Amino acid sequence: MTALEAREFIPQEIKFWKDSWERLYMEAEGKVWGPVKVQRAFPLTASDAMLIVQDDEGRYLGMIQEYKTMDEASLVVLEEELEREYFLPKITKIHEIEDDLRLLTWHVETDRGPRVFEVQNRRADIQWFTDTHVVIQDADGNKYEISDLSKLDPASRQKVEMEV
Amino acid sequence: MAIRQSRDDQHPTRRGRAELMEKVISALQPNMEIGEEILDALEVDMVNAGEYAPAWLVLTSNRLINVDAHSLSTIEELDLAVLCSFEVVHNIGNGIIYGLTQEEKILLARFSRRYSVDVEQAMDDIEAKVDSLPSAVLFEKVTDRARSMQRRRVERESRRCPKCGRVMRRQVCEHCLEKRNLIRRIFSYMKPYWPWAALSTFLLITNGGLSMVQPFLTGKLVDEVLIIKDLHGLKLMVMLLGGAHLLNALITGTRSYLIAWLGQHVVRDMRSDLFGHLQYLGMEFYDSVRTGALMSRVTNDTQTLQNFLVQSSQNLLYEIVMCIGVAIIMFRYDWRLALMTLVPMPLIVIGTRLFSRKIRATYRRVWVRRALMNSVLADAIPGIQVVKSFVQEKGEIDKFDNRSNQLLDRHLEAAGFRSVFMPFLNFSTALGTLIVWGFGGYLVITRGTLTVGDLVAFLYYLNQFYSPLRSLSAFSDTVQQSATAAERMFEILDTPAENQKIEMPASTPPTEVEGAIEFKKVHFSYDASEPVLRGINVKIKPGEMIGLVGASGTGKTTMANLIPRLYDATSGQVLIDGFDIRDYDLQQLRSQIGVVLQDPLLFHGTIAQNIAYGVPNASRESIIYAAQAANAHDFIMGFADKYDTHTGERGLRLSGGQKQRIAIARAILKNPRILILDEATSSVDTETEKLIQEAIDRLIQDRTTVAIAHRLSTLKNADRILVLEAGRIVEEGNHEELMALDGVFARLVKIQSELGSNIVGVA
Repeated sequence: MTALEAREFIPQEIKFWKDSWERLYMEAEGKVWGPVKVQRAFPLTASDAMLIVQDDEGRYLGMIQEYKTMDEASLVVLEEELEREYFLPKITKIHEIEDDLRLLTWHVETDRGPRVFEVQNRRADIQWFTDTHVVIQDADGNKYEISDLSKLDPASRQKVEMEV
Repeated sequence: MAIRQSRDDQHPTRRGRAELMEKVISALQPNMEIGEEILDALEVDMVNAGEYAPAWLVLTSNRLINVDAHSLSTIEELDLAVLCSFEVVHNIGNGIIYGLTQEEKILLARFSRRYSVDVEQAMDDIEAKVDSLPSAVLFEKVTDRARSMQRRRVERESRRCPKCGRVMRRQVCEHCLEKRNLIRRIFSYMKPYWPWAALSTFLLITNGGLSMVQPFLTGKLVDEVLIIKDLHGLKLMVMLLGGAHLLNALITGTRSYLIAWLGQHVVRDMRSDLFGHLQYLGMEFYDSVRTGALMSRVTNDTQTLQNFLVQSSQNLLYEIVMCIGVAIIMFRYDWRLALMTLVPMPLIVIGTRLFSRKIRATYRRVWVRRALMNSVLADAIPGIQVVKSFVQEKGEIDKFDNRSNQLLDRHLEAAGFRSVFMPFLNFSTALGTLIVWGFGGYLVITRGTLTVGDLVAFLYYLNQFYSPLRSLSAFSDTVQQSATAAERMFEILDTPAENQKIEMPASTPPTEVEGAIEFKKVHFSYDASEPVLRGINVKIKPGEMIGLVGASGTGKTTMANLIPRLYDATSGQVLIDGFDIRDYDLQQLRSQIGVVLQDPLLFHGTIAQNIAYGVPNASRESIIYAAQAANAHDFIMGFADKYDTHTGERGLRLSGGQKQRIAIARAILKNPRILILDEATSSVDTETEKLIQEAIDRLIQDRTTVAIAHRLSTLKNADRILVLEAGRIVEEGNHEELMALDGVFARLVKIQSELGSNIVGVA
């Protein structure tokens, strides 16, 4: 058991880049760290708030708060990596939710294009974080987010309220 | 050329894929070199920028090309001459196929997890094809083992039917369960009782016939007795009618007992089948279902099926016979009147269909809300101690009230539908009756073509005609419910039982084991992407005591669970006495292994019955001896009922340490060659720990023991200690050796002693 480490990297003072092998490196506190792995600590409830930096064996190196304040070039590299690690499209419109007793088939538009997916278990696969923030997991394990239900059009909203 | 489209053609996003593929090929053709041909093509559902859109990864004899299926533009292209190998990763919500060259790693294609299995399967073939091409000079296949491990994992995680691609509930696809088969299989439960079922049906139809005679007699009573004032005829008619009623009553009584008898026998058979099968299903099955849902299947689903089999199916037959029979009689009485009765039919049929669709949706919502409310109950009541100590009563009450109110709303919604529909239905049938009264009365009064008796009889028949009509329209619901119940039941019955022996073992292992255990390159992962064990290699001699140490989540319990085959290794082998454990008869194997868990489960029954759980015919002396050896005898004798003390819900409350010692006594009595102790001395006080430790020391004599230790001090006597970290054995040796090594183990011991009296563990 290692002692608690609370190292925090200051976002304005770090740089991220990738080598041609798609490995991620970080420059912070005057040295180069890498290859590193960066993950969101709260991917669903506070995706912008806190990142955890690990070495390639998964050991904790430190955290980054408010990472969006880092320089633009690093941010692009980092966000591409985060998105590949944890792909969470946002649902923008719901065309239909079919219910055949067994499965809910959702026909939706997401910020990543149109999508049709099946949900098996209303209770386990549809996670409500607040009254308006929902994360849905489909039968294949893909996840989709409705970040603010109240901002969807009334027809979409009604479909969610009726079926879920 | 192999064109790989993924399964599940019915899926809306996948329609028209064949045309897309053709478009892709014809777009590629002009740009192909002479002699270059398309060898394989894999469909994916994402483009590399991270958007959902169809794309194809096409393998030609020279290149790999990712083509956007809509714009037909090339997304990525890689020359096979520089390709070294592939890498496929599965992340959250998406997966990536990389191509590796000597200089760089190139993102070839992305896919959502829906395509994970397809991609894994296709990449096997694509790799083999690339490997065999002369142009691929640098190419190296990913080792077969690494590829097959990942592929197996992805396949196991998939919840889609390998045959049709539809989502499955568990390991059986309900679409591939043949529907006709389903009904035949349900009815097969009636087979042993068919003479009784036939008798019951016969009685039911006789009943129907008798009820059809009554209106006829009533009509005759009016026309041929009352109107011409025939007293003798009256007596005869009353007696006939009385006889018919009496016979009807007798038959109804007999049949109701017969139905109950049949139903209870059938439901008993179903329950035993289900429970019997459940006992032999593997741990993977239990990991994937909730206990509550399973219990409901054994009790409720079998009940639903019983109702369907015994009652609904016979009633259906009855209603059909009645409907047709009565209709014929009505037309024979007076065809004009009979036609009149059909006037409100469209109202009834359309109304019922509309209503049943609405009400079904509403009931489903009621059901969902009820489940949500129950989930609050299921959390808060068993967890009441936590709720109280964190002063969360108010929060739980609010949560419950909220769910309870939602349930109320849905119930009211359903009640609203019903209160509109039932009067509507009654009014529609009343309308029919009114028309017959009006038109029939007109015929009686003005034309004289219809007698009063005929009109009365007709009105009776009318009633008999409408009532089966109503229940027939509700029948589809019953069928639907029963089909769902049957699907759920057969899903369990069709789930293959626990991994039995592998077929044709190289040689037959002995029935008694010595107790040598060997892990040979054992890898294991449950279902998440994270492997739990990564290449465990260890040999344990018979009679040796091995301690497993490591932080929680390092794979200690998993490693122990592989020995009695609660799970099978993902790759590698576990051997006992040199034989692969999959060669052993599963029951035989487990009978040689004793397990004492951290929180032992005691079954409902006396202490003696609990000690003798593994050896039901153990003598009383041996039970007492085992309890003594387990240091349990003294506290047992302190109870009023001694060994007959009842444990369980309303029985005695045993402390953790007491339960632990009963579990040890259970293991001592079973006398296994191999013993697994999973943190058996955690969560008890030091005094009790001493007693348990003493008991364990007696228990492990002459047995191979694998002990997962919470308190490192308890491993002083271990012959060898294995230290696990992230699924690997990182240190190995006895207590002194490991202390001298000054590595992970020494650090753990230091932490424990720094924290004082060894009370806080590392696990």
